[in-house]
Amino acid sequence: MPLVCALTTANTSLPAPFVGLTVGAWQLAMVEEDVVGEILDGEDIGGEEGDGHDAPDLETALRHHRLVSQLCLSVRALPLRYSPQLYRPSDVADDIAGRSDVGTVWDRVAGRVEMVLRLDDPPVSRVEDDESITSGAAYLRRRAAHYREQQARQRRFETLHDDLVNKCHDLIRAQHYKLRQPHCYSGSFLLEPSHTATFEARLRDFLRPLPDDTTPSLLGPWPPYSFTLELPPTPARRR
Amino acid sequence: MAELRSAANSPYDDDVRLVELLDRILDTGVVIVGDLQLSVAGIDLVYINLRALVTSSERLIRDDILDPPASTNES
Repeated sequence: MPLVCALTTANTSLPAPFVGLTVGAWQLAMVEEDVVGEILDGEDIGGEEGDGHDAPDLETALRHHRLVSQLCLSVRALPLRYSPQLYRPSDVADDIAGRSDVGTVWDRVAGRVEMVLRLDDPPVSRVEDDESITSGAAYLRRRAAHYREQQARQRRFETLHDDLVNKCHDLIRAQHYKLRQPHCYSGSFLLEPSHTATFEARLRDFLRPLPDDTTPSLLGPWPPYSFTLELPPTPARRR
Repeated sequence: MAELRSAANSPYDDDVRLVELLDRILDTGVVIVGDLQLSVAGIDLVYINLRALVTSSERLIRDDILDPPASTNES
């Protein structure tokens, strides 16, 4: 079964080893599973014999990512996620053919890159680990303080994200963020490839006032997975 | 002052990079693959081949793979 890697316009010439499946004005860029390992590092791609809907493993997901990255550097393409449900090309083709938002997403996302800003604060110490608590009332007070501290951190990250978007509004085409835990912010930014260096420079300036115990990491650029088409689950996985 | 790290090679950065990237590729889904073998006095009693897909319940409910929890307000 081919791996569906990305979407391009129908007339796009795909570099080897990609093969195309035309769906109206679009083309699915795919790679045969049995050549993925040969191309990347000569290893067998793994997986079990069956209907092709086995759960994917991390290694295959990363290989898929390397292929998508390679393609997105060569042609204008919209990356497609490596789904936990494993799509058949026909599943994706049927979905693409029947929806009206493909052109909108294409115009907004294709050819752009995603960068991620991650901020890690030291975690708030666990209430259960506080050996100074000697009574039920003290425990409840400590729990309340713990909750307030977490809420304050979340508000701080929300404000920081809004400020960052305002500062870089001319560079950011789309954005979203999430808090993995109250002490860990992860913001995604859709950018033009030519703007990544400017974005990083502005980030360095923007993050200068952060306290020393906050660890900022800028990740990417990589294909804009967070902003691409959301595909439905495959029928085989529905209950 | 916090220093922005964008291309460092420390293990910490590699881990963060991998976790964030997988989150984007899989939309919060990670597979755990491993083997578990329980032995007593050199005799293998239980062997478990683990191949589990870990994803968020939110994602599974959204994708109609998992039913949402039953409402407690139903009469």
